[in-house]
Amino acid sequence: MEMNFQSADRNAVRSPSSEKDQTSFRGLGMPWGSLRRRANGPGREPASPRSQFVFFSPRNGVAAASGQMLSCAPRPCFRATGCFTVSVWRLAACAGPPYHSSMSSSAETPEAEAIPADLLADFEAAARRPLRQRMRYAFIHTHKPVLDDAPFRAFDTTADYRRWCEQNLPDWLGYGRVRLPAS
Amino acid sequence: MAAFDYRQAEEIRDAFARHGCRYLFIGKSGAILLGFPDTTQDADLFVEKSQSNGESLVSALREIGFAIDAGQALQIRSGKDFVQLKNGPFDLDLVFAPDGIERFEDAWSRRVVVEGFPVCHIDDIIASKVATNRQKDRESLPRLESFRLYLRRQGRG
Repeated sequence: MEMNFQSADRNAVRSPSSEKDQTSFRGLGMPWGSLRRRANGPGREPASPRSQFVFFSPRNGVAAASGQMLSCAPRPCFRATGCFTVSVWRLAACAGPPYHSSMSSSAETPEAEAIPADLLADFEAAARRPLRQRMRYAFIHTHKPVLDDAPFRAFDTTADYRRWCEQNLPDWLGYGRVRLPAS
Repeated sequence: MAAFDYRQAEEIRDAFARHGCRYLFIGKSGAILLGFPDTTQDADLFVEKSQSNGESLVSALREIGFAIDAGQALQIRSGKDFVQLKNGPFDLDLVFAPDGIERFEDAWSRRVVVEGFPVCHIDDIIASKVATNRQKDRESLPRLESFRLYLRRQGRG
């Protein structure tokens, strides 16, 4: 999936005001409401209007959701389609609890659980394309500072690798592990 | 460097088969092979950790075009848990001990084969991302969960 974006005029972008508006955070598959609540607390506006972006759906061409980004701009890369592809995100959600703390195991997931309509449409569209074509648009390459600066690295344990990433890579690459905030 | 593509995946598949390597595509690259519509930057392989598989792996990687010197080959053979290769035609991560999956055999028994590519089951891909719990994993998990549900409904999960 690609997410096309443009920096938004601060007057043109507002946080979704109703629950209905907050239900879809297209492209990230995360409920906007939870992002907003984690980032700002209930009823509080985002700290910086300049950190807001509007995301446009490539399929329907309309703004699907608005999101708040922290500390860095998205790193776009040009693709054959001429669109921007957002490759690295640092989202407000990082302040929340670990994802698995609220995730259902496969055995617990009720089959009646709904797949969001926009995701279902994406899955079905992907299923109609041959693997070769899907791969052509799924793999992108952008330079990742530090990470891409050595031709070979080996780590004794996976934990060593995770630790190395946290100590050496810029936060905005997203390789840092999410931790519970101190209570 | 160009992005990883289907032809390169075929090179991995064919060279690894010739050398008898035991591996599975994992991570978002694995999910993409299963049909997940998203983007990623490199390919991740979950590789069986054994001396013989390490030797096969080095041979296959050299055949594909990775410039692996003797010291690096030794590290791959000697059972490092994580090896990052950027010295070949595409970027490749070799993961010998992914978070969230106890044994290679377990993942192998649940594997899905897509056009000859051995891929971790979506449950294992998600389990690994949940256990890793990085910012970038956390952001893709809700969509992966929905995709798992979609696969189940298609009778493929």
